[in-house]
Amino acid sequence: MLARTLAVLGYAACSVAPKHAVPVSLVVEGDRAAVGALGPGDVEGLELRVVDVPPVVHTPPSSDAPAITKARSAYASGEFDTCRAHVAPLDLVAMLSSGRRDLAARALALDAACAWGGLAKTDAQRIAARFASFGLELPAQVVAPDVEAMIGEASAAAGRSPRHAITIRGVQGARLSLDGRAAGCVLPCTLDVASGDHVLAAFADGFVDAARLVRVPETTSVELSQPPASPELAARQWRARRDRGAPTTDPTGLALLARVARAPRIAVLYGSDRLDGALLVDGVIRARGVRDRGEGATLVRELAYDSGVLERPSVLQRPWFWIVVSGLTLAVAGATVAYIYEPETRTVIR
Amino acid sequence: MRAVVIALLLAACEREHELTLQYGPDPETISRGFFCQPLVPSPPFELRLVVELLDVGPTMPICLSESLALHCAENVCPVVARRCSELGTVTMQDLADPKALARERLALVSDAPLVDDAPDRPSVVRAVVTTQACDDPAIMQLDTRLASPDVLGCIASCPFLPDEIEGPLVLGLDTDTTTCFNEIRGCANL
Repeated sequence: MLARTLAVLGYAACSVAPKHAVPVSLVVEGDRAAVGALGPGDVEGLELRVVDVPPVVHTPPSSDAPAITKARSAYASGEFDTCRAHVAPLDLVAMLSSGRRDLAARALALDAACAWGGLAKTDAQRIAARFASFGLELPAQVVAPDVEAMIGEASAAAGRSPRHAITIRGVQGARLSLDGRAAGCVLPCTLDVASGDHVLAAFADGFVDAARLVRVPETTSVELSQPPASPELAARQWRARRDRGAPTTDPTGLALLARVARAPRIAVLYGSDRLDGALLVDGVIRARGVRDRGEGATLVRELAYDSGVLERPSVLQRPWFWIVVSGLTLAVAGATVAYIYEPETRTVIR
Repeated sequence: MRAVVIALLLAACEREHELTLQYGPDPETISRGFFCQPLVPSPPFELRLVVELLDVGPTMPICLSESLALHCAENVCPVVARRCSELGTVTMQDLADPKALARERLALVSDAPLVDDAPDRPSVVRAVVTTQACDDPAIMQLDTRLASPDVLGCIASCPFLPDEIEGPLVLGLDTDTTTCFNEIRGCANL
């Protein structure tokens, strides 16, 4: 009888599972021990595939600094053409968009000094004006005093020039930088800037960084297009968020993990003193949940139900319902029997 | 192990209930039914107490001698249990104080149960003092009535249901005299 009851309950509990297991990628971060035992088939109806966030690949150091050092040596030796040849290939936009303003300042200051030394004074003044429009600070003891004076005059002229509005559009909410410094706004954004060249850069998790050199006042509106990040870039951005203490399981962090996993359904578990979880379908968070440590399988199953990946069994198909009903029935029956039962009486007469 | 469990379950399903007989209106007073003087034979003689359980079902008669006699005449009230106890020899000297005699001799009554499992039917318990011998075949056989000439005293309970009555089962005789010859005959011949 008990075996038959258990068989019926088991069948009822299993009847909702789909014919084929639904593949779900599983990303586990934080304390993995908090997840507990969770294998590919531990959640009925799901086929869990563990995905690891790839480690950060360190990019080789930039060759910009050595080139500037060589340009400085050539300038000191009076080899002005050689000096400018070292500076020419440098990508000022990349330097400024990545925030390396000191390096950009040294490059432009040397370029201006070498042009001045090579008697290309018009070039030198144009470079100085660019230096000034970027708002760079003159590095100490890099160039000759007369060059410093020329650059100082250009900076003063830039400070006096009228400012012009420029509107920047792009990915909604992307962070914006102007000439290597935070612009203090997110896209879309309108800035008042001095005349001259400027480098605008936009950053958003889940997207490739975008940077563009614009000239004001000729340019009044600019679109910074950011293509979606590759899985490798998404992994780097996700780890960068974690390293700087930003939440890794907020909507942005989860969206990055979704891109890393390259799967339509992703369950993300984060273990700490408890177990946080979310399930994303096509990059959208469909369910979130929290469980005690060690309840990874239960959390994933609840997330699958909440997100609609699995159909939640009706009350009549849940084992605990029948266990409770059976228990209550037995209790009521027992109470009834106890209330109405009269034991057989054996009367002894002495 | 299984036998132990079954025994425990059976024990849990049975309630033991004990009724003790009280030969008078209270524990200290013995009923008049044992002191009807005209019935006493010449001493010395042997005295016995026969206690019987009568089935007076199937319906419950009311507790009046007349009604009970009528009920048993119509339904036949069989004796379902009988116990005979020897009360010893009675001498002339013993007859000087009948109550002391009765108290002394009733203490000799057997402590053996009259019945171990009384039927749950309307019943009456009757106690008869007689000179008839305990080994008399008439006493040994339940379907044989006691010999009327030998009866010296008789008391009986009201009809009761053995499984439902609580406390001592009071026996007595419905009379207000000490010459209760007819009442005793009626009691003994139910």
